[in-house]
Amino acid sequence: MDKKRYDKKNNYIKRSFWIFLSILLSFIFLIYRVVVIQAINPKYFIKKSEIDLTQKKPIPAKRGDIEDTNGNKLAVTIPVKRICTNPYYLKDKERVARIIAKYLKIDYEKVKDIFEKNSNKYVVLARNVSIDTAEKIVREARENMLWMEDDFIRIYPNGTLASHVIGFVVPSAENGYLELVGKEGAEYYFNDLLKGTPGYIEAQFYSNVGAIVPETIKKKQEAKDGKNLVLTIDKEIQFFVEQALKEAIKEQEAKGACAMVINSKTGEIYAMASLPDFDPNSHGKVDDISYYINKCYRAVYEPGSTFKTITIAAAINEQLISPQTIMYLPEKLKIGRYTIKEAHHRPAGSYNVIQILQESMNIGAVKIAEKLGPERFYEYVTCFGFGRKTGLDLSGEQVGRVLPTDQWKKTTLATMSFGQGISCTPLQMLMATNVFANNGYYVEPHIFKYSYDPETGSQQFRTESKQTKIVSDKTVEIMKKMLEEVVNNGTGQKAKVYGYRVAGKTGTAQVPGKTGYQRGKYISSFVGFLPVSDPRLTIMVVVYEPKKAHYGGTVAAPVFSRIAEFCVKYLKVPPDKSEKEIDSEKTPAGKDVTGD
Amino acid sequence: MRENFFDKLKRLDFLLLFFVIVLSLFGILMIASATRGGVKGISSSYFIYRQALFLIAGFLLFFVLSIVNIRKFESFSLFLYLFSLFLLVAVLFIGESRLGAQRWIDIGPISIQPSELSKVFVLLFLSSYFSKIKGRTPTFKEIVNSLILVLIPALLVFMQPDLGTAIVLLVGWMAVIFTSGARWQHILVFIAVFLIAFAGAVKFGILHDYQIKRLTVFLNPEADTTGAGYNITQAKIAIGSGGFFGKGIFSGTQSALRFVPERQTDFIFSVVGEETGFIGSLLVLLLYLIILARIIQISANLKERTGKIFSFSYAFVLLFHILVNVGMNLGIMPVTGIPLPLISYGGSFLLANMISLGIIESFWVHRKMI
Repeated sequence: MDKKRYDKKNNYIKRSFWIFLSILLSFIFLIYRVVVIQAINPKYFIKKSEIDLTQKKPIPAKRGDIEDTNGNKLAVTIPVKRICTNPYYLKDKERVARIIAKYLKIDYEKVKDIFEKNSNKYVVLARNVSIDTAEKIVREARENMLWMEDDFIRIYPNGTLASHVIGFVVPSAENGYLELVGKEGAEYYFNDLLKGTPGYIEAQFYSNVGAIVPETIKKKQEAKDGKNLVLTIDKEIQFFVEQALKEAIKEQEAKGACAMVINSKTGEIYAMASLPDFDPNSHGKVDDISYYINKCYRAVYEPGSTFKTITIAAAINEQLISPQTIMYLPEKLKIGRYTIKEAHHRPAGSYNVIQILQESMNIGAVKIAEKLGPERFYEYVTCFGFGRKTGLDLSGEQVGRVLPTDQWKKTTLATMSFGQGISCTPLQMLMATNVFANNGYYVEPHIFKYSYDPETGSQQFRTESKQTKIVSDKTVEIMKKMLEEVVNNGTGQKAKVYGYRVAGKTGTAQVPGKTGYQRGKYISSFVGFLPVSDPRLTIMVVVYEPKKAHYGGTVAAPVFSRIAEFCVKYLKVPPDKSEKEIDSEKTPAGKDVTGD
Repeated sequence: MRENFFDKLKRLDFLLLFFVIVLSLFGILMIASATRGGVKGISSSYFIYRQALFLIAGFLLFFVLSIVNIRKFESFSLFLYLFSLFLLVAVLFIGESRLGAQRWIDIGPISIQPSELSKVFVLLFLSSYFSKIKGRTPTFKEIVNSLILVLIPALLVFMQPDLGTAIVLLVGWMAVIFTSGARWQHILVFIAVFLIAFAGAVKFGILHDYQIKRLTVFLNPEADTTGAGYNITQAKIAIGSGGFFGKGIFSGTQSALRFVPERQTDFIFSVVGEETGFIGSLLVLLLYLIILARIIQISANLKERTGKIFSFSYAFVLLFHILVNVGMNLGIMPVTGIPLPLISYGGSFLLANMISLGIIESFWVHRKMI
């Protein structure tokens, strides 16, 4: 074969035939594809190209601001810019990287890295750039394919102030575009009101650039900005309350604390503080996720002695006892295997109801509850709002645990009478006590004052919820007097406010653990209202696990006093005592009372 | 007897020349349409002027080569081969990087792509090499020797990295040994060897991930509509949306809106398809078919072995470009970065084609008359 001459004409022709055949087959193949795509059914592609051409892109709406009751901004939305590009179309990547590194103070190599990783792709180089800086960057870069896009950033000008009530937002792309979505507090609860309605733009976009092709805008609907939300929170009161709590925590080396100040008549919350807190501007940076929990309504505790108020009020309302009813109280009371003791030694003897409340006698509360019996007692407990939501306009509210009577053990009635074996939130306790401040009516607490359209200014108010009468006027008068006695002569003497009549009740609860109550762990509280003659403010203070002292009267009552004093001055609440009476009672805080 | 310049010019194959002129002018029109509004901030006129400049230079070279008797300068092909090796080595050191590959050498205001020029010179050298065996069937040893000669530039090109051109060089070599009369068994052995080598390269990570992805994505482009799959999906949509008559030149929307990337080079056929429709696509393919058929006809009529082998092989290499490029645009071939001859933007490849055509014309003009 090798010796054979190859280049005889017919051999070449054979080979050229093969080449020509391969050419023909290739072209038949290509033409077949062209026919299929372009001649037989091009409609599919024509339709597809039009869909690709015109795109609908959202225009983000500006999220509404959150304000306090006096119009101070608690959360604002600031328009910022995103710096966008497609690195492929940049004339001088190094220069752009240097400019961006310079203005945004980020690493040059990092910018270069972004360019390399997204060689021909729409890419956001930087977010949350101030309009001023963004314009400078774009102007200095002089690149057609480096542009700005609108974006918003949420700022909380007061930092940690009222962080639990305000909450925070996180960026989300759930609806197909980037938006800020409320995750906690009012930001979450009123998200629909705040977020506004995004607009849209229908136009042709450069596919791998993302910019609008000039003169192709088909439809444009401007975004409708979100409504501004006005809360009942008063920034000044909130600030004072938080400071007072911080000092108390420091002084008592406590684990945490919470406090609320409400308008006794309307349920408007002037302040709602919970510590430790967080900064919503950098909400991701907390030591423990429990910091997000607003203890006022999302954490339950055993209320302890503050609950005796409810037991006694129920019995008075049922006319089973009067303040002067005298009862014989033994030193210790044995119910089944359980022995009920007093927190402080007290000789066995006869005591009236005023004394029982004033010196917070456990066995007295048991005796009174026994007069009521389980069914009636349970009914009152529920009527006062325990075991159900208060109706607060924030989400995640806990209801606590109130067992129905058929699940009660022998001891349940007894322990519940002084606030053990029942759990509730501080807010529930506050609202229950507020019944006495509000003429026997239960009122719903709320933080929503009104919302308004930032453009038109039209306002939308809350529909007033109806108030339910719980106890008679007579009971209210008796309870007010007795609770005032607690502050004047009983365990709550440190809650006194100079020049005002204060009513309230102390509470020291133990923290339940796996096996019984935990030794040395207490929750000290005080709940009260003033001025007694015409109550305007109901205030609750709870201090968690104080180490220096633990009685509510020692730990929480002084904080209550400070807050109450500030509030009456700040809100210019007129005193309910005559000048003469004030002069005759010059000693403000009484002796260190430790009975609870 | 010395023929004068005009006598030689008269013997040119005008049919081939005519269709080459038609296609290359059409190419400039398409580049103008594809780049309108500018690309990467570079204005359209830049592309048009450069392509026109290279086309004029190409035609000058075409005419010069046509009237020079190449056969007298056949030993020159070794020099051209070594020269292209030199350029390919040089480009690795002094070359300018664009789009992640080092392919260009700047010479004053223009930049050339040595890999494109090597396509002609390597082919010419191989044709000359096999013509020297005086019409025997080449031995296995000779085939292996020639393979080594082509593997050197192919590897240099691969290192740039430019997988597409490396494959083109190997296809050119295959065409040369085929037309030189290599035995079928030998050809099949080498095809098998290439397939095994390719599989090995994939397995041992010699190929970049993106290269493998681009080679295989056409099998299922919908699976990746943002990367390499995006390119072919968009090209297919652009061509399909052209329909029967097209949207009209300068009226395409898909490619103009930058849906099709690299639309002035690798994906220019999508502009053709979108703007001139089925009629235009078919016409372009028919023009190519005529040009190829004409080259085959010329080479079949040549007596001179080098010319015969060269023009056959060139026709095959040209076919490979058209098949792979148009196939890629139609979504049936891998994305390899192989341009469309005479139409795609790119001066070096245009020059290479005009040189090749000039060489073929020269063999034709100086053929032995029977």
